[in-house]
Amino acid sequence: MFSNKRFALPAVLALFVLLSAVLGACSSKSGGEASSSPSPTAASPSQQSQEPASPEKKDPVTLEISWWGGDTRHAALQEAFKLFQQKYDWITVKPTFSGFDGYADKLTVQLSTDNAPDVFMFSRALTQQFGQSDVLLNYYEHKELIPALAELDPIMQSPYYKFGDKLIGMPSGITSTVLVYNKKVFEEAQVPAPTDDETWLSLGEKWSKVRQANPKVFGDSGWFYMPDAYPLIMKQLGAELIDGASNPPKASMHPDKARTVWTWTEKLWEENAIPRDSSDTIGFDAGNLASSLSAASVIPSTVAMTEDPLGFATLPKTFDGNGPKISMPPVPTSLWGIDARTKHKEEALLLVNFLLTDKDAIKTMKVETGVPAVAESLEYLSTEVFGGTGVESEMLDVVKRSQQGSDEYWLPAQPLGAPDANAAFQTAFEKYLFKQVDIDGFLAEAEKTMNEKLQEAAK
Amino acid sequence: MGKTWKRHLEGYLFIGPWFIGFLVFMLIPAGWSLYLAFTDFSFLKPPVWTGTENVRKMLDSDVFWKSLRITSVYALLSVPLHLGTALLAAMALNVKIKGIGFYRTVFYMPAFVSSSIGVAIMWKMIFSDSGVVNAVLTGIGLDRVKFFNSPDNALYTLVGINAWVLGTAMLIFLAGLQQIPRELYESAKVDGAGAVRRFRSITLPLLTPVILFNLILGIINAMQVFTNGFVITRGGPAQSTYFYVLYLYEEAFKFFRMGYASLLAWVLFLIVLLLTLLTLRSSSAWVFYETEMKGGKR
Repeated sequence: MFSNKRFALPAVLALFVLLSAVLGACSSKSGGEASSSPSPTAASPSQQSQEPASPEKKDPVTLEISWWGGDTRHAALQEAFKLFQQKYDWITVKPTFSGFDGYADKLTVQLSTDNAPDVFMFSRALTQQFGQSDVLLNYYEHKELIPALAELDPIMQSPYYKFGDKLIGMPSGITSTVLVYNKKVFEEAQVPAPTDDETWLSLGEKWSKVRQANPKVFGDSGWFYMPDAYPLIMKQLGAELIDGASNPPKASMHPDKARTVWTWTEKLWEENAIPRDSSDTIGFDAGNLASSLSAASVIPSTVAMTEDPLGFATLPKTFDGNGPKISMPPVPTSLWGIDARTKHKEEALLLVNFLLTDKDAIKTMKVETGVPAVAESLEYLSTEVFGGTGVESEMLDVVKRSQQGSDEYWLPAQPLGAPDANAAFQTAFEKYLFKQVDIDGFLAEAEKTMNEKLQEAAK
Repeated sequence: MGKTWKRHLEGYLFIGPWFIGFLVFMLIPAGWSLYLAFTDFSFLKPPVWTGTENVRKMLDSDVFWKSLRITSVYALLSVPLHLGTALLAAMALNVKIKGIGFYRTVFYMPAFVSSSIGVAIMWKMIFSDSGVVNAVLTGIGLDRVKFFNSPDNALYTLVGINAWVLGTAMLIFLAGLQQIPRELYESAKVDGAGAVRRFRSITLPLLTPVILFNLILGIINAMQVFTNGFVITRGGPAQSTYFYVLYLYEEAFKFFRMGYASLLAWVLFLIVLLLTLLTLRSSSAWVFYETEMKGGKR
């Protein structure tokens, strides 16, 4: 082969490719063994007892921190870091920030190559993925350096914060899905504004009346565009879409109850009370935002969309007024994680605790990273910074109210494979939305494809 | 042997830098990804050898076949449209008038920004329900059309906007047109051949080598379509524009299944290679080189 010049070069190149593949296999095995050593972050009991309760001044340390967001968040956090550096003057904070697109990809690569910042913001959708890799610090092992943990622990018993028994994310802020409505539109339509005592049926009636009064405005942009709304409604009807306790986790569409929900929605579509697909929404200019399900943390940007006065109400706690009142607890807007391999654990923990509890930092950040998770910080922001008035106070108030008045606070199961299963549900749902399948076809396909994804992940 | 090596040493030294770069940035990563294609690798944990598990998963996956079908339909429609518009533009620009350089530049400019996210966002706005196109349609009394918000229309809209990026193909066609001897056209005119006959009997046959080149490039690019699908439609609505590379991207960076994504990348490479070889193989039947008789016979 090599004596024939025509084949010599391609053969040499092919050999290089195969050689690389073989070398990759050999090096991977040795790399796997090296990385299976015990995590360097596991502090021995004797180390934990020697860690000081109050930090002492040490040699200068530079902490790297990264997050995503818009300009206002960037500015607010950098001001907060200045305050932190004034308080802990041996620590220099080196920030890196970017937009949301591509942030998670970059962070994942950084974590996999041991180049991650000491502290970083990450999405609650990635907690389980990152947890599997064992690269995030377990906050439980450093409780004495993060006193806020004691207060927040009860709300952090969910897969958004924990992987198994490890607490790997502290909330940068919390958020609730609430109703955000345009007061002016409801007044002009002479329809009573939504209240905290609505059911989904009564809310739908109000949407219909708003549309009847003004055909240029939709009653709502479409409740089904909020990912958690459907699982919540089904739970309020007594059905859970994903049973996380079974092995493997199982998805069930509960056709009878599902048809109750979608029959109601089909009627709203026929009346044009809500658009069937987002393209029918005539933008969110002033006057066109009638009522919209919106996470509380995006209220500042929603406010910027219109000059009309906005009102806030909690999500309905029942579908039709029957059964127990069920709500979802607030969820983390995003989480602060600490690289388990960082050489500056103490400083990193100080920073996270500072961002959660320091009043000057809270005053500076306001709601840029979400509603403060610590009750005292929330109260301080609401009463002393915002003075108990204004849209920001109303927003904080509705998040507080969303944690009251229910018989049960429930979160959808988040087993391994849940993101894939949710994506599969979304695909099946879009086919129904665009009339490619009927309701039975949608439910059958959703159940089948969700279970395929859950079973695959469980292997 | 020693004399041969000495004679060639200079040559090897000159190509050395390129070859080292090729080795380090192309061959070795390709080999690594070939290994990863048979592993379970999530970036955050070391790869675990799984043999043919990824292959089985790929063949059993409805989404794999769907994305391949959607990409193939896109290529089947967009490549001829793209080549056709590029040829028309080249023929229109193959004239000697004042300022022709300016016009050629204007037609070429989209090629600079073809894959830019900004341009994709621009298209999204132009074809949105409240965009310019629908404003014109409603202005002349027609109904609004859901270009990107309908699973029936989204793919064809993406095919259509791809025709805008005709710069590179147009330039190559233009070069090919300018190689055709003018005396052939003059002789044909003298013999009474009209414009259509001249195009069919002179231009097209002598342009076939260039058409072959653009066709192969067009197929390679079409099979790797990504930006517009990612930015404008995100693979929707209802997965109607879920291109193969978008599927590969989501497997790698949304679901962190790098091993499976590596396999998808290699499968795409093999498919494109096969299509290229088939096109080259077929060329003996329809590509006419000026120095040969038709069909490749001498």
